[in-house]
Amino acid sequence: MNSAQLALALAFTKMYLRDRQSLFFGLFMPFLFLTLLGSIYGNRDSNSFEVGIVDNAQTALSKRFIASLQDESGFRVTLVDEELHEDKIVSGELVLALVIPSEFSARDQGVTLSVSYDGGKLTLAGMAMQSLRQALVTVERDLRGSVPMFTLDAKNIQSHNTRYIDFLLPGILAMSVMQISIAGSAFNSVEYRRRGILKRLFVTPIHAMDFVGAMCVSRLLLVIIQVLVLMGIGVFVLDAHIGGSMVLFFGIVVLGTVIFLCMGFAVGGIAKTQDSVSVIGNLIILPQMFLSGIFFPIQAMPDWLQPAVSLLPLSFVVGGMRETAVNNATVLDIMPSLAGIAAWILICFVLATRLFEWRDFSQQLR
Amino acid sequence: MPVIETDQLTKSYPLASNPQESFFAVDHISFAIDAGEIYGILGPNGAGKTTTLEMLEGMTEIDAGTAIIDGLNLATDPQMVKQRIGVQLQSSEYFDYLSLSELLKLFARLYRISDFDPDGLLALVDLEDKARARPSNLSGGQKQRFSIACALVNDPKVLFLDEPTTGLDPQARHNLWALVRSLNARGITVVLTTHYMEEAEMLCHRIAIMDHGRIIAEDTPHNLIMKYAPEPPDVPTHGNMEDVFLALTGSALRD
Repeated sequence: MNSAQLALALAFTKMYLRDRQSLFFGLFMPFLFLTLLGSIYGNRDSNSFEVGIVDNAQTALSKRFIASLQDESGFRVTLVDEELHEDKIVSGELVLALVIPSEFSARDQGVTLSVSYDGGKLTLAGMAMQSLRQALVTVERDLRGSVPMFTLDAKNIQSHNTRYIDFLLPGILAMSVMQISIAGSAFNSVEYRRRGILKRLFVTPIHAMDFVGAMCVSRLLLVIIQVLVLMGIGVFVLDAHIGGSMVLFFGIVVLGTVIFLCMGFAVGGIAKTQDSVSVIGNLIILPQMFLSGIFFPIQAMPDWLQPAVSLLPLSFVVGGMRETAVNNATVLDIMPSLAGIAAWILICFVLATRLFEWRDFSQQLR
Repeated sequence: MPVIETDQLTKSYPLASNPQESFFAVDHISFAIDAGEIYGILGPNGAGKTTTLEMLEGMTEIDAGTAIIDGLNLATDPQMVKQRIGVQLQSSEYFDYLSLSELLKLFARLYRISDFDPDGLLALVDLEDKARARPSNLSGGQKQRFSIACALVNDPKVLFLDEPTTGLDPQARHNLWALVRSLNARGITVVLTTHYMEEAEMLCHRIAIMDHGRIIAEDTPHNLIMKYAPEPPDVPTHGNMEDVFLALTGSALRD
């Protein structure tokens, strides 16, 4: 890195830190997401399901059944009215609802419990059904007082019970990696070109690569600073847990920054005006923000959408960061994410070099 | 001794109406500018002034012909030439969020100058009390003076000014002329374009008048007036540069 690149990189960094608007969107917004969502859902166990029960029997037995189910399954059980239970599934308040018939007894002929769930969320409902079946076996033994032939002594080797805030923090960090990178390479470079600032720079003996290199270095620096700050807030203020290898975690942060810097330069090549760069830029940023599993797991999305959204670049970045931070994953564990990231780096690098007009870059557009 | 010499300098662009055809923005022009001169390039919009300047500044590729600046061939040594020239562009926008002295230091670093003192340069353009100001807080005249300061960080031999006084009030314009003269007195060769005939006449030692990509006249303001300005019947003078300009390029409105 030469002294001209270094001077430009420092200038870019200084400008970002002095720009209140970029600080607001870059630092304050993620902070707001973290604190708001963290304080609302922070302590919720992400593995538990909301299950509604319609108790039409209202007998001592049915009440014992419900209590036992709650103990055994880890479900968050709520009693609901029969007329309301379907609405609550549709609205997403409940993953599934179990209806206890009025003739509910412990006699031998067996009882059929009907279960309602949202077919649009097959995966989530499927996971819940599986837990439910296991729970019913245990509840049955419990109610009959029989001794199980086999018992599993299950140990939770996950060092930490995952709460929503632990899940959210890596997602928010990945989101800010995307935003800072694209803001620099797409929004700022188009602005500098439109205002003739780039033309002025290229009257001095610097090369286009000096500009691009300086932009990348400064954004990388800002990304790392910002991830550290938000991580500090998450861990020390909001009591989030981040485990795993920090080297691996920040390795993924750096690779993610490379993806989104290249993507931004490609956008800057297509977009000629500040208006069009904000349209194209937001078309890339917003869907990824909401579809890449930042705020809720991709598995919670409709089944038909999942294969497509899990291929989004941010999905791979979030996936890798979250696996590392939450499940202490190793490089081998997150190979699929790393492969996806590598593929996107390749795609975006080729797009950036094709679309970014190096010659035109120094020319002021009229 | 010429510090700038061009020979058959040419640039063509595709026609807007028919991209298959091209036209000459600059059409085989040759001129020489001596060290220490203030040289003006005049012409209606679209005459090729800015394209000529941009070729000399290394911003636009030269299609044909040669340009030698301070003994260096622009086509083979563009980076070396850029080290020795200072450029003020028509637009005078700079990065936000940096002060004048930070911007000057940044520009110095782009020329690989490490120990640079911006205060002296700011004093030279009368902006020493604005060292901590941001460019967006400057007036039009201050912005142009700051642009010139930026063009001087590398202590250039040649200074290119593209319409330096466009949009300035008369006070700011006279102030800028004084600055250009004082820089010229320090030995800097100045090449400028302008639409103001008064500016060309008062400031320039020699003038080239361009139209349709060609130089149609080149001489001192006095000689041009003597040669081209129509002789008025009663008044004893030969008119002024405006008369010369209109006589050479006609009165038809350009874009």
